[in-house]
Amino acid sequence: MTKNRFLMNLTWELKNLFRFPFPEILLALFTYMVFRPNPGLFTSSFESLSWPGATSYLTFNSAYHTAFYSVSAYLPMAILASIFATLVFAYEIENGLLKVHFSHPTSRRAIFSSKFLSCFLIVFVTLSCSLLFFVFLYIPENNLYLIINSRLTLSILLPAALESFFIVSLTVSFSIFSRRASISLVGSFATVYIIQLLSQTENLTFLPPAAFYWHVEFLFSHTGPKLSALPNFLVLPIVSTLLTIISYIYFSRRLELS
Amino acid sequence: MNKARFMLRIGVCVIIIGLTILLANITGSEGGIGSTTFSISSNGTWFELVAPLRSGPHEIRIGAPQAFRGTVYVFNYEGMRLLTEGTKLPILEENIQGSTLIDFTINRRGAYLIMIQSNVSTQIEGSLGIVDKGRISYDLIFDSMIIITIGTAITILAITPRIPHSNRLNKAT
Repeated sequence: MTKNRFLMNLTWELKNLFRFPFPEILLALFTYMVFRPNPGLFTSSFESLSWPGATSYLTFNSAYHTAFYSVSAYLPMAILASIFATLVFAYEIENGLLKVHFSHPTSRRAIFSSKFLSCFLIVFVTLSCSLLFFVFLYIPENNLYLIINSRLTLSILLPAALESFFIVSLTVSFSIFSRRASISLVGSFATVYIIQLLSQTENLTFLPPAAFYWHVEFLFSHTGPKLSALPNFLVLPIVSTLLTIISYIYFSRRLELS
Repeated sequence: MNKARFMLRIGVCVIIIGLTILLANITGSEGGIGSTTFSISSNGTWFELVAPLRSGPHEIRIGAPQAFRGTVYVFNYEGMRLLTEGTKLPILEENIQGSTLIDFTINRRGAYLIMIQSNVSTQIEGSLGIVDKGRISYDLIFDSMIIITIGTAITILAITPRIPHSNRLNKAT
């Protein structure tokens, strides 16, 4: 019963967020950011490689570059995630729609999960679409190898998922704690933007978006993931999880609607 | 959401992706530069660099001591395959001395191998830069047109009214 209510809520939320033209706008922005020409170089030693080895290396590098360019979608993602989080949480709290949700025989956990998941899915699915288009158009000769080597495709999607998870958890937390649509919208975007500025100007690599490059480096290391790079890799997922748990606890136990 | 509407949304999304790729290609054609350093040990040895390049005019900038003499090769994807089999079939081959600029044009984006072979007996350290001179990539425009066409086809299919099954039966009888 609870599972059905969760699915019903999720369907409803997804219908709300996936209505025209939200995904289309996201797709356009992400595709533009990913497809902007970014000159880059990579080296390889062909003298000791066989052709299968060389193609595998080229495919690996093409996937690596795609994952790297996914970070360039950080700012549009932050703007739109803050809008979605505001629409789904703060706006509904402010105008009393959430009271209607609570009046149904649905647990708060199901409501929170469906709302959070819908916010995450719209950002992640659209970014993934853009990245997959990019990787298949980047070096067209590699396409067959990319299809065969599904691990690489998953390695492209994992940084995108971590990026989406971080931004959604931050914007949702802002939205739930602020309770006001305007504060949530401006506050969450300002926070994400300030974090980006700090990361760039002060060269703080543990902050996003620079930290997302660590994720890519960790996942696409030629010698395999290094244990020494694990703390850098884990900082943002842990922060995102903590933010989600805190938001969930506040939403399910402390949130009082007047 | 019914099937036709879902197809319509998919079609619109594909058109938007195609249009955005086209726009990114047109507005982002200002070019760029990527560079690295290299070290070649002695006569006959070489330095290799594989770079993903867009189509259009490019320039290879080699910074090396005046005493350096060597040969620069550029291989496309097929050339790389042949190279691993032992056949050298570059799209560009040029003898160089010291610091040199080499212009070349690529017709199709993809991975290219740039190889600098040393013809001197001493160890040489230098720099290699690849300049994308910035021009609209016609191959990417062509690919985005294909994507837009596919999107349009999906959209048209979605909005084309379906003949109800009962009507088809009536026509047959």
